[in-house]
Amino acid sequence: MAGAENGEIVDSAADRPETPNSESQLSGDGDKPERLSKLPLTRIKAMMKLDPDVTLASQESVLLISKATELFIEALAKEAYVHARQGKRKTLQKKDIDNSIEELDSFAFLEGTLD
Amino acid sequence: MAEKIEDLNLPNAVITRIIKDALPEGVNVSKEARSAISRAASVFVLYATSCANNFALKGKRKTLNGTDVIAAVQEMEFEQFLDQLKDSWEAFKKEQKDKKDAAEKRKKTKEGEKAEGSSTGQPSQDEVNTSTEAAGNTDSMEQGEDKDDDQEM
Repeated sequence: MAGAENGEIVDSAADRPETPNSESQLSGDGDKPERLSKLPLTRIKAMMKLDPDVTLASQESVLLISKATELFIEALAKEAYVHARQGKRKTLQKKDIDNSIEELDSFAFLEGTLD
Repeated sequence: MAEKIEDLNLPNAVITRIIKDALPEGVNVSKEARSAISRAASVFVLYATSCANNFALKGKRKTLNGTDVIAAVQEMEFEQFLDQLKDSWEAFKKEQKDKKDAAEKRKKTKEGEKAEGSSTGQPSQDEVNTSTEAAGNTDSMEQGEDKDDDQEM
């Protein structure tokens, strides 16, 4: 019994690297550690299409909106952290976001949208 | 009108990851702050899209393109994003080109390998064998079930 099992283990170990699926999966994971967009592009595109004036959105425009949104999230979080630090806190709170929006002109478009 | 409200939300896990990566270690984010940032991100998508689309309309184009988004980001006074956006755009173009090249290459090799079509059947059979063996192996790892396996065999 044990002998037969051992034989099978050796067989399967020898087979596995040769199966095309396992190989392509491994190399796929290794080649792309960083994807172009952290946010889901299908969702971003769906949101863009909510604009009735948008007829067609190219793939590159969806990617760039997605990337810009990612950078925007970072910028807002960093600015909020400045306010949290002024209050000697290590936790970002809603009021830090509100203060950030009041402080920076580029965030002014958000006024009244988060209440 | 048919759109559901969750269409406007971005996935929480991704938002949290982006925020955490932007902040020093040990900084926490309250639930209210995170949901405010998430909502702000959704507003940003809609606002940036609208701005970009205005540039497309001005150019009498029906399709929103990359330059429209770049122009919108500039107009929205987020010039500090431009370098990274252009990098992403380049990376995207390169990826598209690589995909195209790979597809052409595959097409060419496929034409040369028509005779080897039968070889794809064999590995899949091997795979079935391997998976049943693997299942047997994991069972035998648990000592209690080891005996049961022997009896069945």
